Amino acid sequence: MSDDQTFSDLLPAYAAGALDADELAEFERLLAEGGEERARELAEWNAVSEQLAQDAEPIAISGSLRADFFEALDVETQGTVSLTPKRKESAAETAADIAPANDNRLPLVLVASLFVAALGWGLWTQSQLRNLRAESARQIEGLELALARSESEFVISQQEVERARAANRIVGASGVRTVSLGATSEGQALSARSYVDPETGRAVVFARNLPDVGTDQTYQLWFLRGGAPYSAGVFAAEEGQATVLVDDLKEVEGIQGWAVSIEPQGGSEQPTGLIVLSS
Amino acid sequence: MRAPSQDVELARRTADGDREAFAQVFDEHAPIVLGVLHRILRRRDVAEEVLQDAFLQAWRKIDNFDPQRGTLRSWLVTMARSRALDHLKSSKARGAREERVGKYETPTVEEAVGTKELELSENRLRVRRALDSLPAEQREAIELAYFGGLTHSQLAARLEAPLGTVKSRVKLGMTKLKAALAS
Repeated sequence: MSDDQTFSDLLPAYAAGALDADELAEFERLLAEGGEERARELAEWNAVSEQLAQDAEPIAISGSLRADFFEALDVETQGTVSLTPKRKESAAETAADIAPANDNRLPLVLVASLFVAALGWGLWTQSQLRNLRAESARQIEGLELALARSESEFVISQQEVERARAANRIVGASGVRTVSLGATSEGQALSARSYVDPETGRAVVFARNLPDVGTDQTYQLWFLRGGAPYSAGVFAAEEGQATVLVDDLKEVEGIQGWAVSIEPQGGSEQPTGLIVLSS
Repeated sequence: MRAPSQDVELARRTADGDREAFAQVFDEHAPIVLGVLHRILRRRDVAEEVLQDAFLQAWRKIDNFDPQRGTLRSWLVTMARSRALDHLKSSKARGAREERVGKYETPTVEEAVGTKELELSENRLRVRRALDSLPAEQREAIELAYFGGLTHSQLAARLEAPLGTVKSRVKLGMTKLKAALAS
């Protein structure tokens, strides 16, 4: 078997993390020797591995965990802070430097040095305290602003949480019906997928790669029943993506398909603009 | 799949010591990495500890990220998974835990939130369906390897199957999984 074949043969097990130590050593040797083609193959399998990871439920990072991590990173990047003021060391060194051995003026010099050091230390401490007070005041002001912002963001976040939970319930419902929507024009990357929970009559549609529309325009979602389109609501895309929740769908059995069109701001009663996605 | 340009840019800025860029990396990828760690380690507190270690390692070793070999997320997941498996190797609780690996369990952790997480939910469903489409013995071998950290020979011992058979199961299963995920 050639090296290329061996490498390709080991790749699936590498992506699954199943290689024994000797196989892994062989794989890494071949990877180190290999060129762009092996790197490309590896990237393909790393993508599979990455997707496999998504079989695990993602867990929202708590504020305290995030704070702990960045505190640890601070320690990592800045190191520990010395609590010994450098000026004090300098003063002590100066005193030592100017004190000749066996000098009968030594006690006086030492007292004077200590006085100078203490004075310097006192001035330095006062200056540090002033700086600390100013810094604390700035931090409190910043925290108050952040708190005010957080309070308003919290309300928005709560709504997002509710939406996310609702969407998760639909996607994970038993008997959920899935329909893919594709671009109506060739060469466009936009796509969407609808999930309908027939039990509750609720649906969620995930759309991606949606191009920007004009400020006087909006996207509108439609479902088809009995050959006629019914509006399921207007929505905006954020960075080309959108998640649309639809409540209270009647007669789920009769839904024949889905479509998305670009309509004037506020939406239309019937599709009037360009249909960009359809099932 | 090579890394998108955003990954390359964030990695470059992180390598330059840009904490804001690294904060973006953390916020974007930590939830999925923590999910994987929790699935492997089965303990939230330990998973969080390993998550922090893994991201600190990522900060130190960001120069090792090679966009030609995959995305930043795959690099982070691989690194975190490796640390989790190291942790398991040093853990005496492994024997008891292995009994639970390999079976899909309904997660009991908090529900994911936000647009990105919604997208993850959709991806997750797709991955789960792809896994469910595999023959049971192939799926079991892959899950025990990926989330249980068992290598070929350990799988053979655990499943009481010949080594060659186990290797075939992993290879065939992963090849089918790759095709299913690409379709």
